[in-house]
Amino acid sequence: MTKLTRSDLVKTAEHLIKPKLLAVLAVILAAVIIPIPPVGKPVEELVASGSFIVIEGVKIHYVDKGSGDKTFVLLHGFGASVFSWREVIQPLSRHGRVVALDRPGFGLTERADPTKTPYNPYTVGGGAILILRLMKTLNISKAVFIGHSAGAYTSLYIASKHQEAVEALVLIAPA
Amino acid sequence: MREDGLQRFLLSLPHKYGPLFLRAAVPYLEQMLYKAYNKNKLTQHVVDGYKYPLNARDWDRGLYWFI
Repeated sequence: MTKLTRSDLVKTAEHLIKPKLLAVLAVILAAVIIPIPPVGKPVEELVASGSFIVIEGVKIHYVDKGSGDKTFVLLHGFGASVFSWREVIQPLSRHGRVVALDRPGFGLTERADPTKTPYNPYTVGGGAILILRLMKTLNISKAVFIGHSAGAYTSLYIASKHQEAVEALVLIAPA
Repeated sequence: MREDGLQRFLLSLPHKYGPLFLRAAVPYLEQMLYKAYNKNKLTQHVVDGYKYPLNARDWDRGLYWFI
């Protein structure tokens, strides 16, 4: 029986460990270097129920229906979109103008990189500014805000910071 | 300088892989729909309507930025 020396043991260990270590490093390196392909199509190529308008570099999808002295702005909740208001828009438009928009991060509103916009539209404050800019572009000075869930939170935020833009609030299951 | 680079690299990882995790979480997110909605009213049309925005470019990154 041959006796293994210390240097033999070290060599054997190196022989076993190195390939595994190299493989792990290669996987990490590949994960860092290889870009992740984007998902989905540009929003303008999708079937939209409303129109698109660019505000502060963000392409916003919105529905604008009806007319009258009163304007209603509809803000959906988390994970929702203007689709959530599909049974509300038509009947409500008999009482005035109805504007429903896909809030940043949801629906068919473009997912703009927040580092490339003047402010972060994904925050409640940034989202509120964007909504107010949209209202201004659509010649709406004051509106009844109808917010559902997280949309109700944004409505409340706008009412507290920009009272001049809010005629009344309707909060549905506010979050 | 090297520490800054490493720090920047480590901080960039969630931005790169966070959206990827959200893509993988779609089936779980879809379950939320079934839990939150009145099952009698949850038709295929409704499910499709809520899932349609998943066709939008970078929906995963948008959700990541929102969260």
